[in-house]
Amino acid sequence: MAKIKDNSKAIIAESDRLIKQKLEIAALMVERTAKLPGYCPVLTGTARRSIISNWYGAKGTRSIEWSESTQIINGKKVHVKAGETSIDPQSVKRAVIGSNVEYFPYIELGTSKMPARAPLRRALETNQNRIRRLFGVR
Amino acid sequence: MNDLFAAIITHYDADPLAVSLTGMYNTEAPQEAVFPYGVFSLVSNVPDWTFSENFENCLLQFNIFSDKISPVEICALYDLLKGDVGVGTGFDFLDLPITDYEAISLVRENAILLRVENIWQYTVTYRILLRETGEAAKALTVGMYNLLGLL
Repeated sequence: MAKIKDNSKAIIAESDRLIKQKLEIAALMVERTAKLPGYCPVLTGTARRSIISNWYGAKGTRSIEWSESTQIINGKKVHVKAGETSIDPQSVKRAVIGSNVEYFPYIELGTSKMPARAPLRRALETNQNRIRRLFGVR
Repeated sequence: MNDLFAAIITHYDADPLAVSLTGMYNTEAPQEAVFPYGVFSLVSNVPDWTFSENFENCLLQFNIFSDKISPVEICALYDLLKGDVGVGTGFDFLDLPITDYEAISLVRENAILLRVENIWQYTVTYRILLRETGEAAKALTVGMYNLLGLL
């Protein structure tokens, strides 16, 4: 009698590993581009230094939450403070590129006294075709 | 992109939004700009192509500013910026007439309302997809065939 072996767990684990790996590459590509000359304005360098990325499955100090939020993880409401290690970084398949500097939104969006520099959106747009190819989307 | 800027300004000049704003500036407003005013800027412009078509994928940001205490004015201006698709006012789903290009879509991606130093600010981002239809588009097609050794 033929035996049936269930490899679904291995397939899911491999696909999960690839997603983590590709999200890490995509996040670092955008982070690196945002830090290139011409993207983020530099006076003291604080804003440029503060650009950091976080992604699904990230380990160590990068596994932080950007802002205070209430997340629903495994059906439970969990309150996470800004700067805290995410309770379950494995929960959402995403990569986030941001900054914890207070005035960064003004650099990104501009104000009535300052034009928008948009370093993060420009970095993302610059890499959008590469990211699509990375994930196998034309 | 000069044609894109010209098309935006031409549309703005004939739009009800122009009556409510004191001006619409490209990228940066002058120091003496009077509230309420608007600023538009091209955030990014990424070229894209298929074998036969050449596209420009642009991100366009509008900032509108109001110095009123109440948000009523800024919200009314935002409504004018969005416009009425049926009547053809505003920028939502606008068919921008640009030389050598066909505007495939002008879609509002997001809008953020901020209050910075007692000034209301609405930041509205549009995604524009332009298809090249002029001489450059023909040159691209010939170039692609050359690349494939067909010509």
